[in-house]
Amino acid sequence: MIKQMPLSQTANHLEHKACMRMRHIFLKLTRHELFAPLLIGIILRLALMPFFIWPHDIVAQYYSVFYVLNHYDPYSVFVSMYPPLIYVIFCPLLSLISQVGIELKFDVFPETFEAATATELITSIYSDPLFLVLWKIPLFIFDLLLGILIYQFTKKLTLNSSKAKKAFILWFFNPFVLITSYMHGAFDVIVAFFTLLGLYFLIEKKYFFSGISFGLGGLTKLSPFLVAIPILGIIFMKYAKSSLKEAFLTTFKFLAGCIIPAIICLPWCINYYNMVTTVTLNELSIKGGLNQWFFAANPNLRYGINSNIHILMKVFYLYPLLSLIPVISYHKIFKESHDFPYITLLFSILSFEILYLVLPLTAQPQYLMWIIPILIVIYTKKKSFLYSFTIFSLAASAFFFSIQSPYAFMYPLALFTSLCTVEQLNTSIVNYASRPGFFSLYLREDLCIIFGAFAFLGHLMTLYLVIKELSKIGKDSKP
Amino acid sequence: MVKIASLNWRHLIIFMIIYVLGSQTVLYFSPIIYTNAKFSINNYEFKNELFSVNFTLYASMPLDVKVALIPVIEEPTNLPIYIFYDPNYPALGTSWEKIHMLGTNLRRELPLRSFKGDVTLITAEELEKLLSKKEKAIVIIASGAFPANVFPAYNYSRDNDLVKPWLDAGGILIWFGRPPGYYTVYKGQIETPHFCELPQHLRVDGVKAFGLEEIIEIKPYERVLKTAEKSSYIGEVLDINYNLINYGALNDSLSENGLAIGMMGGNPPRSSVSIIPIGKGKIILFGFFVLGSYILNGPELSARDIAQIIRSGVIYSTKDSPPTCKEYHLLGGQTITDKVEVKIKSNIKGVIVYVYPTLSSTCLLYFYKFYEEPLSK
Repeated sequence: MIKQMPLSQTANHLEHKACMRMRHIFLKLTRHELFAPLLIGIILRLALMPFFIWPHDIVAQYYSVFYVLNHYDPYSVFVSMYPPLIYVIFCPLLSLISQVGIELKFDVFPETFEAATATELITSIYSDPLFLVLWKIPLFIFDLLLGILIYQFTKKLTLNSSKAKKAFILWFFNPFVLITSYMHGAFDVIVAFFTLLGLYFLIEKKYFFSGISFGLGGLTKLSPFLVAIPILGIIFMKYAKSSLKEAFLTTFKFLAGCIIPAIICLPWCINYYNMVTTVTLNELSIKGGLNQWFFAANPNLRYGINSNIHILMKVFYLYPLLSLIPVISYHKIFKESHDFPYITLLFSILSFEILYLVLPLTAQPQYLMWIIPILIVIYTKKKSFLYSFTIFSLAASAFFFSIQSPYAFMYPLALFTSLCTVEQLNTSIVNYASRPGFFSLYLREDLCIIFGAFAFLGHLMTLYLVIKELSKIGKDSKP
Repeated sequence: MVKIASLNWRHLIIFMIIYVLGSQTVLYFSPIIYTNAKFSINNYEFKNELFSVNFTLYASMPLDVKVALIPVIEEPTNLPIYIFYDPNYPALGTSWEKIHMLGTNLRRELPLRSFKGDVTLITAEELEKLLSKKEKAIVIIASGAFPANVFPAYNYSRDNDLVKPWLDAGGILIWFGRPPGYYTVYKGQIETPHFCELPQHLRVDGVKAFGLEEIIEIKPYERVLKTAEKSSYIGEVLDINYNLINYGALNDSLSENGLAIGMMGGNPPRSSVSIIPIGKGKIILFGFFVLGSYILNGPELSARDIAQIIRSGVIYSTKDSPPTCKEYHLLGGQTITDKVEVKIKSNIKGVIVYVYPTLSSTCLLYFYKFYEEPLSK
């Protein structure tokens, strides 16, 4: 005879089972080799989220989100110069927050004006820590996912778990990563994630998904779209050797994937294109940064280069032609299939380097984040890429702090806590901004030139390493 | 082994596509996601030199809003707005990039307030045509100097001056920078360290051409930015944020002829923004230049201030019938019904009801309506 258990006992039994299962998962998680670095890294990130921000960019993002929530697209009201994905991700979350009655504050604080006029980069408009945390939550998710992707990618590439852990740590504890996402609040981590994921799918020969990944990245900032051009050519070349039909089919899969996200956001994409062509192009200028234009941080040299900006802009239109360099070299060097994952990574680095040197007028430090994950992954195969990774991380971090000193990130801390005061920050920033330089008028201009030149050196070294590796592989492949 | 290191990235991509698709669909077709704010007038009345309006306010999300009543001596029209933008000329003490950004931001701020006039960037040649035709318009010059084809250089002669006759005929000039008329620039010139010392500039004589020599304190170029801290009454009504007073109009002179509408401060006391009548026209004088993006006095907030001044109708207000204003803070889903009133004198043609969100509001609500005083017909 079957004895039936009472209902309350059944519930208790299920509850107990669920608890045991949770405990089991938790114990497994704690035993995982990434548990400790993950935990420390997450705590570090949560601590930085509410009180640090690069004032200038967050105001632009706030205004964009604010207009979207008021039923305007961010381009028709000229408040954003970035493609739409960040707003598509962020706005429903923010709307949900507002709908449940949580009030976000955003106000003008005239007391920050003194430092603002010294550097012209500190805004007088600040949001409360809640908005900063909300803004950084998507960045945190993509940052975490990118760390896991680097771990998995490296493990797949090297079949070595300790190398994968090392790669994860290089990402998760890189000061440049922490500064960019949690102090600056830039969303380049999303671009970096989709780019690396696109390469991961490419290596797994999942071309459609690879295309979608590059497409999503391109909807965040345009660079993944531009890097997808040579990659498309390489895919075609790879298959054209055996079958033209397969080559067309594969490239079509990749291209279709690339286009799908843009089709989903088509109306905003059209408005974005219109705004970029009518408004932003009139405001282009070279202001220094982390590529060959580093010297333009000096106002006199900047003036000289910007008086020829329209000639320089014509060179930028040559990018599609220049992006064929990796495609042609792939076709010339590789007659038969080799270590496709490694070669793909090398060509993607080459494509990014061409992009850095040709396209952006001012290579801002956060742009270097696009290439950092690829350098970490490739470093586990070829140690010399650690130099490029280190140079880029150091140069970009130092550049961030050189522009207007580290104090510039701390205004929310001063405005919303009693840990420091706005006057202290103003004084420190004004003192720093007015300190005379050695070969420019101000020290900050000198420092920007030095760290910009350091990053440019990093670009040259990366190019050298890639070309050296490719020619070595090319020589080895010859009969 | 926990599955942390073997996430299925294809599932993530599919999730992302679904999220993006869902988010775009919701953003396009669902009203729930957006803020919803309404302002409606229940009734209004002109009685015994008093205009009163009863209204209802509603917002689905938290809203900070001001309801202003502005008595005016004529009904404002949607005048075309022209911004002088010609990089062939030097922008003294500022940059054309900032002026371009001012124009871009104005193209957002004015349509938000249902302003129907066009905002156009014009070159020096186009400016010359406009002024010589004495077209009734609003012209913004934020580059700190007149181009030599519209205002004389070397010696002041009425024959070469297109600006003053245009102002006399009813033109409205919005001016940023050093005093109007002080500097004149030629096409193709480049700003050098000693550019301001060139003999081509009329200096005080140029300022005198507009009768502003008593209104603006003429002094050598200052590098230090001078700011005002206290808001004027109209500045508070319109939430004007521009606070530079280096070349702001002197309060004493404004008390005789003109209106302080910005922030007040300095010694002698000056106004950061003021309206100065000239002939049938007006100069709206900002105390200095437009500064960098997103900072106080930058192109975004300056454009907002200009839009507030143009749309509120304050250009046509008078000292004896000052505007009135009330601020409201609504919680999400709250409805408020209230009454606001303003005193009006016999010279008033009507009253503008102007509703706008304060800078800290995450919900947008603009309302503009002109009510004509029945006795003025």
